[in-house]
Amino acid sequence: MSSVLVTVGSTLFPALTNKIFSPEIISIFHSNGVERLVVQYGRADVPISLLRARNLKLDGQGKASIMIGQGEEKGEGGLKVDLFRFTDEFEGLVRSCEYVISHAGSGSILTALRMTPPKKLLVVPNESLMDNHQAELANKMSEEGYLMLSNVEDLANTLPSFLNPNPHLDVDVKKEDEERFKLFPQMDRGRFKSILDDTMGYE
Amino acid sequence: MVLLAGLTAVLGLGVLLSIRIHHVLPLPHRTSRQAKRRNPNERCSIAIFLGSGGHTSEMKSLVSTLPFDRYTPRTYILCHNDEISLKAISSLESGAGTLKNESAYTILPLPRARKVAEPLLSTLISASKTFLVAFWCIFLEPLLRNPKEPFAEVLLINGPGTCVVLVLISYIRRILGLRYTKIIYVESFARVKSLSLSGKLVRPFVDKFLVQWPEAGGSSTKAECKGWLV
Repeated sequence: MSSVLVTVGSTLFPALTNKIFSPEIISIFHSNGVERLVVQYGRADVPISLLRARNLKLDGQGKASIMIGQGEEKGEGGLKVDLFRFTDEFEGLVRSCEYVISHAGSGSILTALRMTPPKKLLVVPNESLMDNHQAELANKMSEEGYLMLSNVEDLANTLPSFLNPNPHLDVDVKKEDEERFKLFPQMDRGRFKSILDDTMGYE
Repeated sequence: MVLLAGLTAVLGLGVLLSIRIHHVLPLPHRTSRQAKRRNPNERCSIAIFLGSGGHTSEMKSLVSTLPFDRYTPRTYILCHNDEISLKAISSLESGAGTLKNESAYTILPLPRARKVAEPLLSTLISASKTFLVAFWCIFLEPLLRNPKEPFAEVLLINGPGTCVVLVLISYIRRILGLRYTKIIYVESFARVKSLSLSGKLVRPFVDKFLVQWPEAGGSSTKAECKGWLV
């Protein structure tokens, strides 16, 4: 069983959250054995289709839990979905999921990559942002091999290889991931201190 | 005639002020501005600007690496109603947490200089409010209390806009030739190839300008990159 966290931080990124609930993407989750989907959708609206189809009731904080596709087709397991706008326990959530699909915010990226063990991270930059320096960071980090990158339109193509790069081979998954994702170093806690000490005249 | 005289006076003052500002700018070749040696047990007062959101979380990481017995007392500057920054302070300080350190920090809330997408005129008004409050809290009140010492020996900033106001006010003491607050700017980890607007604005004025990716500083000789800091 695997679980996926989708997070947009404090931003408005309906293109991503709507896409996640499209039948195409949901079926990719089903066929790759994802059983839990946690969606932190920020300032966006919950997709109308989802609200109608599932008779979804959100509480005051925009929170809801639903099951999608409860084994109706081909005996596949259901997908348990938790939805909410914001959370105070972001780190705990990241810890509880194997895969993270995130907007390009540096906070989310650092949290996911510095978790022990580090999370497999797919970043989807929000292309509608005016000053899109966040995409710069995501590009650089993907060039260096720390994470995978996708845009919203391509998600159906990138998602299967993110979740399951070699579905037909019986490979050591752990080893495979080590090759796919370079380990992002932990924070060097002496670096800034020594710059400040130096500036202020300490040896 | 009076107008002309007035104009000349204003112009003259402007020129003098620019010369003075240029004289106090922290240029790389000015070795006389090397820090005085301190012994390891000496204390150093520090001010930390928490700029909200991602700025606050990066600043929190930076400050969490500092020895609080050395960098004390601490002044945290934040914007009104910024609860995330308040939480950041309480988590930083509770880590330091002994009772004897209770008065080792103060919190200084300022009106926000610019809200997201605020129009120009109202930005001007709110920025001048910020300026006046900050002028009193970090320049005038400390000056009246003890003219010899600045409100803090070092100020850490990493954006956004409001930190420009703090730099402006810190410059008054430099222009007057008094002991002044050193300023360190840390560009965001998210800035890979270019500087943020506040970074560009404060770069000539700060004593240390740190970027976290080698390309972020462009051709500027001032920007220093010592790798990732958060």
